Amino acid sequence: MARALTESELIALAAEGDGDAYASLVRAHQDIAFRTAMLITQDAAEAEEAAQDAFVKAWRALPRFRQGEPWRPWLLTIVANEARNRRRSAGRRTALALRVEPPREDRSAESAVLAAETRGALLAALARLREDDRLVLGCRYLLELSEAETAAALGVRPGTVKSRTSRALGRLREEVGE
Amino acid sequence: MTPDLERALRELEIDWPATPDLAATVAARVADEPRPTTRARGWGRPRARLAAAVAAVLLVLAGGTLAVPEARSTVFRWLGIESVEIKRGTPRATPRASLDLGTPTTLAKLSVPALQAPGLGTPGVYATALPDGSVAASLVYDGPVLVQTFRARVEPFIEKTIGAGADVERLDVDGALALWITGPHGFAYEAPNDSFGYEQQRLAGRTLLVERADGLLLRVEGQLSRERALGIARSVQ
Repeated sequence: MARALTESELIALAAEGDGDAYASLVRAHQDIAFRTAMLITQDAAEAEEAAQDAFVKAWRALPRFRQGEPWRPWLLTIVANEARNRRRSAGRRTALALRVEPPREDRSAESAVLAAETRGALLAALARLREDDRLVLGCRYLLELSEAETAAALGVRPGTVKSRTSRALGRLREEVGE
Repeated sequence: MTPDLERALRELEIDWPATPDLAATVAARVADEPRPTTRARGWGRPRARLAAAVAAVLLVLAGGTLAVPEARSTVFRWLGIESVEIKRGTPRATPRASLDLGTPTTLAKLSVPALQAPGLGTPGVYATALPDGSVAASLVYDGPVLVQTFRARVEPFIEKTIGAGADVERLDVDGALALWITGPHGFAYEAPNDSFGYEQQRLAGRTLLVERADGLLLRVEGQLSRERALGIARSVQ
């Protein structure tokens, strides 16, 4: 009976040169790759280039990928490197914005505005944090990456992610409280 | 801890820009790329057996690329190992990281049996993931000499899979069949779960494989004489 290939099977086939398998892998990971690049570059065009180049570099490096290990942290390391390289060479930045929520019947227009203001203030406070604080919180809470994935993306040890997250939350709390 | 703040962050609905169709653009770009370490294949080819994929092999020789002889290809296909490219390059003699042996660990932490060579000093210890999904205990001694242990059999197809530039001699180590391979080589093996894998030469073109009665395959590899390799194989415990 036909079944969908698992991620490790797709990786194994792609490592052998199967472009269809690789396209499936890219499709499955393009959102997280693009958004991770976006978090770092804060520019959609740069993020697209970074993610695209990262996927091409990952394809070239696939024979060196150790079968059986999770692919996403490995990929995110490459994506984040590409994104950081671009960030160093450019100036224009776009802050992340909140999605506009549709009106809800169970909430008054006034409370919706208040909630939006609170969320907007939190995002603005996050944007004011220093770079390493903003990135670790962005990876952990906006992208919902695991500690291991965050460590891979930021190029630090998992223990550092834990301590940096805690420190960044403290600074964010101060920033919001001001 | 600041659980409320963490929850508020998680609940922020970010208006991410729409993700571009990277799959299409990346597919177009990699379609034009030569595959550096595996045989070039077109898009949309039929699925090969997974064993073929995991066993794509880079065998280090000395300069250029060789075709795999037809007889050898047939054996690889029979084993389910379809893609094997023998690529000539500079033999690697630096131990540890460049050997791609996997995670450094300690003997105490290894979850698989490890045979040690007591006369060779203190080894670097690695848990090496093999293509069939099992783990080999890899010990690297000064020399460098690789002493590797994993559960496998190699005898039935050794001649057909070592490669045209290699020779194999059948020997005996304490009643167990031993295979002394010289020349640039690789070897196919059968794991206990009935899957097949392929191991490339890692350190040198001089390798002694011993099929032990306990089901373990002992691999001793390095710039060694046959007698020295046999001596190491007899000393392991």
